[in-house]
Amino acid sequence: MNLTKLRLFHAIEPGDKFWSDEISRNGAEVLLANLLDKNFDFRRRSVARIRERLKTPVETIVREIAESNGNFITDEDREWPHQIRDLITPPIGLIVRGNIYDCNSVAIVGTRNPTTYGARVASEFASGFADGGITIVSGGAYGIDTHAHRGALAAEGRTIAVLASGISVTYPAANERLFEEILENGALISEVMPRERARPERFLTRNRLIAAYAKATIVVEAAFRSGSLRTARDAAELLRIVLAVPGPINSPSSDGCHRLIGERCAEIVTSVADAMEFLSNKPCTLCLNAS
Amino acid sequence: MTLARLQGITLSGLSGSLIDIEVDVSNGLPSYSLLGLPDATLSEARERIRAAILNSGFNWPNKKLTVSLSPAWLPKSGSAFDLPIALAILIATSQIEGKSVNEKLFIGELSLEGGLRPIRGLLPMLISAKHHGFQDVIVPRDSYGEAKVLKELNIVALPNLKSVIAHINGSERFENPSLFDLKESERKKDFSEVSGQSEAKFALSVAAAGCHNILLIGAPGTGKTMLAERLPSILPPLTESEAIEVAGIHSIAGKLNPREVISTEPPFISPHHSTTIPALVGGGSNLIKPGACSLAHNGVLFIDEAPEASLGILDALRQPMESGEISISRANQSAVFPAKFILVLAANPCPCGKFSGRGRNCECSSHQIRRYLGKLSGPLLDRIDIRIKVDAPTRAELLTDHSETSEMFRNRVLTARNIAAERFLGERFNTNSQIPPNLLRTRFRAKREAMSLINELLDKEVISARGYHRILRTAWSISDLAGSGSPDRTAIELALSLRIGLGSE
Repeated sequence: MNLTKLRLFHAIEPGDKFWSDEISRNGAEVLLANLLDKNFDFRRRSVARIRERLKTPVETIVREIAESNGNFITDEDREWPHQIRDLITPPIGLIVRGNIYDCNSVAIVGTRNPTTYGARVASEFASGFADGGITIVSGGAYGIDTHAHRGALAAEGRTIAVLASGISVTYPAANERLFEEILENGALISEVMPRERARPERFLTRNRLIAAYAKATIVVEAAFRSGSLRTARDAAELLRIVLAVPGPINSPSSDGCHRLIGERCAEIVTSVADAMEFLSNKPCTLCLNAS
Repeated sequence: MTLARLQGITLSGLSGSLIDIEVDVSNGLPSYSLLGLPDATLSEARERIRAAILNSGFNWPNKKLTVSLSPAWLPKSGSAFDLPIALAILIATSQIEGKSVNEKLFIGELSLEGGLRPIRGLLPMLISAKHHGFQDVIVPRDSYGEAKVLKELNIVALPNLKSVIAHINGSERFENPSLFDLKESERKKDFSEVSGQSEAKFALSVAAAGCHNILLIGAPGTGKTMLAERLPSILPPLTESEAIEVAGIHSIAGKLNPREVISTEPPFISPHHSTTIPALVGGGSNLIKPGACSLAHNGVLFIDEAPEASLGILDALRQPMESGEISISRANQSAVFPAKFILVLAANPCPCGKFSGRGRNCECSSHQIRRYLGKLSGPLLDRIDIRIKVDAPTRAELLTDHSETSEMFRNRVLTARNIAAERFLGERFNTNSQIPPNLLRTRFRAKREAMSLINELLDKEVISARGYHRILRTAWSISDLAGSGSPDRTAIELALSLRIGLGSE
């Protein structure tokens, strides 16, 4: 375990470009040394909070992670999902509970208030991909996320939940059983300490991670203003495949999908077979990266 | 004569008990005491009776008056005893002849002037009087419309105490008043006034055919209330016994216009969503009064903005929805009221109401939207077979006005009900929504292809076991409307879309 990165992981809120740049430019050791040096001026407001958190002893951090049954991994570890280095703000590390040793994955995201149509499409697509040996990645939230995970589990496939909270915090609480089932064959991933709560801004940083982790992102149902659209745009910026499932034009829950298709941000997809074709036409850059 | 005895009736729920009214006049300090658990209205009777007797030209005895209502343990309430007590006092003081009052029932509240005023709950009292073997009943003149319903009784409707005494003496004959026929001339609400909405209208006719409960979801101004208000117009008219039962309940609640002929149109009751549980299911400490769900008996109970109702209010409807009646118990009595109604709930799609169409103007967070419809509890939603979205009519629909009238819908519903009634001959139920689950799988099963479809849906976990039976019941109503025998594949598909078409199962 890289203790330098562990301390930085514990102290720095993920998704901040400034700190990501510091690490990629100077390396983690230099950054940590500078942070510990009180006279070093970063001209950054968040530095006070970071220095405060750096006072926590490493043993405490290690113990907290051990208690959560999770593993702390960095890009030096074998399991590290190398595809996420495409991110402008790659995570310093990840806490993983379960196994994440494959890269052939598809993210299924969407609204928390799906219609029956959206719920069925999400779970049918997830089952279809799982049958093809593809891992389903989603956010573990209500609605489309839950149906996607369930669909994968129904087909006895592998599924991964990327959480906005720590892995010990079950958010939403009603999904406790679902998370347990996911752990039987899949994994929970988080970019914050196990007992951290899901703060609003963390959902967006989490979304970028989903977008980067999966080879393709499928938006099943999303309203005009939806966090899932952020995931889709993040995925498009990373040159991942972005697909959207259309719905009735008078259904508010499908308006976001239509917007993505209309803006040429996503390809329209109407069946699992369609989506599979998109996946197979494009060579898996991730696999090449990983090897 | 110093003792007089008459009879009266007091109500508990819809059933009446026979009460003996005795008046004793004896020597002693002038006083008036009323025995037998009277409530406030009944205790105040003394002042009304005294004034009425004096103003009718009789004397108030300056003696010790004891009025006893027995059985003594039964709580009694209301002003219906005014007239019999007054008559008993006059008989006991020998101011009038007491011979011809036997076997007659006198009901009415007295005004200070001596006039007879209508009372609450007259109709159920008369029904009970009939059961107790009364033939001749004297009622207030203004209540004639209500009393006339019971054709077996010899009703005499009189305007005041003097005329009652003249009638007893046989010195004068009175003609019963003629009634004004309001119901025929009154313009009814009609389905043809709602443009478009063919899907919602179909769903409502299915609800009417099988007595299914229904939930309408749509943005404000799409016509949910208009549609719901017109549901009674497509229900079959009430039979005579149903109409009397309904009028009886409304009579207890004081909601009946006593001068009108009772209506055969099914009642439409729409309590505001801020209603309380006692107002909804019935209650009250002395006389237990029926609530909105009993007033809607044999008709429609409509609750607009259902998610705005306080927690638990709507869930209080679950028991009457299952059993078709509601029993209310209070410290000193309990009452059972019938409550067999079609529940119609209306709701906006979200707190601001704009989450429909493309939903771009909606200002609600996804959490608020989920919570809003989540306020309708699962067990309640489970009892609602039909849940549909009501969209605003299009321009073309607004401009064309050749939509079907309520009469056309009602005829189809009637035909469907008749088909169902024939099928259920000899069963304990008569509507599709009441078919017990085990019979849905045996005697009243759908066609083979339809059963295999719904079994498949169950296997795929698209529907729950409860949903399975509910969909079969709705499918029966759809088939009855189409006149196509037992439900086929199309009927099941249609029933499924009516149940989950809304989006949230």
